[in-house]
Amino acid sequence: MQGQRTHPASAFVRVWIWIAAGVVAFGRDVVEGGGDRSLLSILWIGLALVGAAALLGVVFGYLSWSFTRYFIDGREIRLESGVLTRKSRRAPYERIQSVDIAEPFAARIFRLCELRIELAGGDDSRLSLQYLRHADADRLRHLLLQRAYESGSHAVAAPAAATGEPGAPVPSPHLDLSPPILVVRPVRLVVATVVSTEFLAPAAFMLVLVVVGMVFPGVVIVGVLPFLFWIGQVIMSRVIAQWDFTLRRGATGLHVTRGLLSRVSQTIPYDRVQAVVVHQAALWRPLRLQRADVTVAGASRETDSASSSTDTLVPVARPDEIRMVLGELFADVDPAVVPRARAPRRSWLFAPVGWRFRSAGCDAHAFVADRGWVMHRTDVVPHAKTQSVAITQGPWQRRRGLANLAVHTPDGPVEAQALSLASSDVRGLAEAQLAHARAAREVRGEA
Amino acid sequence: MDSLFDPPAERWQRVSVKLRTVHRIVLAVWVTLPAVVACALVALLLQWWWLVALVAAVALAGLVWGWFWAARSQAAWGFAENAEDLWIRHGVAWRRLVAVPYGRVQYVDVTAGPLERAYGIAKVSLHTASSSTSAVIPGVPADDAVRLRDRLTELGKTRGSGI
Repeated sequence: MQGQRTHPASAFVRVWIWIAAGVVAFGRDVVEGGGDRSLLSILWIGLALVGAAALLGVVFGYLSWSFTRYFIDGREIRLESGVLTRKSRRAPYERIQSVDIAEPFAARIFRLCELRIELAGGDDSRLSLQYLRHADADRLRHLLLQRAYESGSHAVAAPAAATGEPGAPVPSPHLDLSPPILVVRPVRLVVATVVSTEFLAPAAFMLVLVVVGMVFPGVVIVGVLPFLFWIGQVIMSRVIAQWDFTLRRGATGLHVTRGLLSRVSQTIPYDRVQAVVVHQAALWRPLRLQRADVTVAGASRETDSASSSTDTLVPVARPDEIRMVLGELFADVDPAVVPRARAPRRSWLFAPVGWRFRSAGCDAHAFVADRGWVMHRTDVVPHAKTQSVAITQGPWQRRRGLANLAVHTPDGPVEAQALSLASSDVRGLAEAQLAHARAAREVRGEA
Repeated sequence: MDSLFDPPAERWQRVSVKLRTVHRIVLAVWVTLPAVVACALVALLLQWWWLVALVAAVALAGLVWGWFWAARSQAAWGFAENAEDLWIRHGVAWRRLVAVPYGRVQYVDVTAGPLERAYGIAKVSLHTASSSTSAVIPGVPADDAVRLRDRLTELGKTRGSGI
């Protein structure tokens, strides 16, 4: 069998899953076995179970490694794997959207990393090589990006190496030394997360439960668990996953490196960014902190909580930094200078406090909508990315002369909606938006 | 009238009145069948005649309301083809107006269930890269629906500008 193998140590990376399974099996055995056994026998059973699981893991890991090969030819990279049922994944170069390097925690222990190749279209749109040495992964990433560019993948721009003289050492995009344009310090990340609503809400519930538990002991443990889980998830997605967040300017997009346990490096391609939303929780206002999420066309959106960390453009930063990053993505767009139509006082019925925070407007470059009191959000849609425009109005809104306006963008965290604005403003805004979007499309069409 | 939902040109193109009939038939089936079953069960098992009368009265009220609702709803649907965008409005109490630029249309579906086919109407749905667009025109005469789809697909191709 021709082709290349992944790193031999890959066989051991996933052993921890088996060990974990062994520990779980042992735990169940202890719980169900009752108390009539000696401590020594329990320990022996545990050791045997975990050892057997680890051994199985090594055997299976070795088998699956030895049956895995990847092939690189003139048109595609192909991954063949599977011990009993053979599986072959193909990635034609012209369908490559991005090539990223991830470092899952277990792989980091072995100083290995994973090469993820995202493909355009289809559900089965990722091919990942598990696991490679960094130097190999970097070289492969560069090669694939180069081939993708040559075979005309729209998502991949000319790699920097293509312009350099032949034979020159290939600058590794993974060990990118271009100066970062934004670094989020861990201290700020932790402080910002602790005062965020996502963290304080479960923490408050837990505090209430603990206080109740002091009065009625016994009921607390079960009630606390889900909140602990909730808090753990918030810490995972907001702190661990965003640790040491670094943003660099790349040839095709902004380059993100982040993560404590597993380092993730991903690219936010300039030409596929659709819209940005800037969040500011009430508690972040005095600290002058904001968070920004981004909608990227065709990004694989996972349904679980992990999506909240892959959509992140900036986990936390000062407004001027956010504005700088926005400027990197969309030239000329500055939400601060866009003239807004504010929600009128008579709309208090629909949002007793929030109506003061609702506004929307557009200038020559973008549509901007503000809403939210506890969680304030500013959705920014550049005109060229507008998909469609909708006006909605309920019976009570009609009585008060109010209506909603929505500017649709591809599915993602951004939802540009202006709620309960004066009807007289809404129709004008919608028509202005359609005209701006048309003009922006024509400019792009000529370019 | 409210200028908020005015057509972009001089007037809205209306959908077929057969949509009323289709809606009425669907509603009648969905109200009558459960009501008859409920009445029969109550009459046979409990013999609470007042409850039978109540269910029948509620079902009848539903049918009468549905009859008028179907007419108003059908009259509220409208669409207009502008030079650059397709506009669709609908809704009596909760109104919605959506404008889709032709260049943003990715594909257009024409669907017709058995009942709709019997009355010669079809539903035209426009899809953009955003799932919140939800631009649908029900009750378009079947021939017009196909023509509309072809026209929109063609416009989407010539004005299309990618995502």
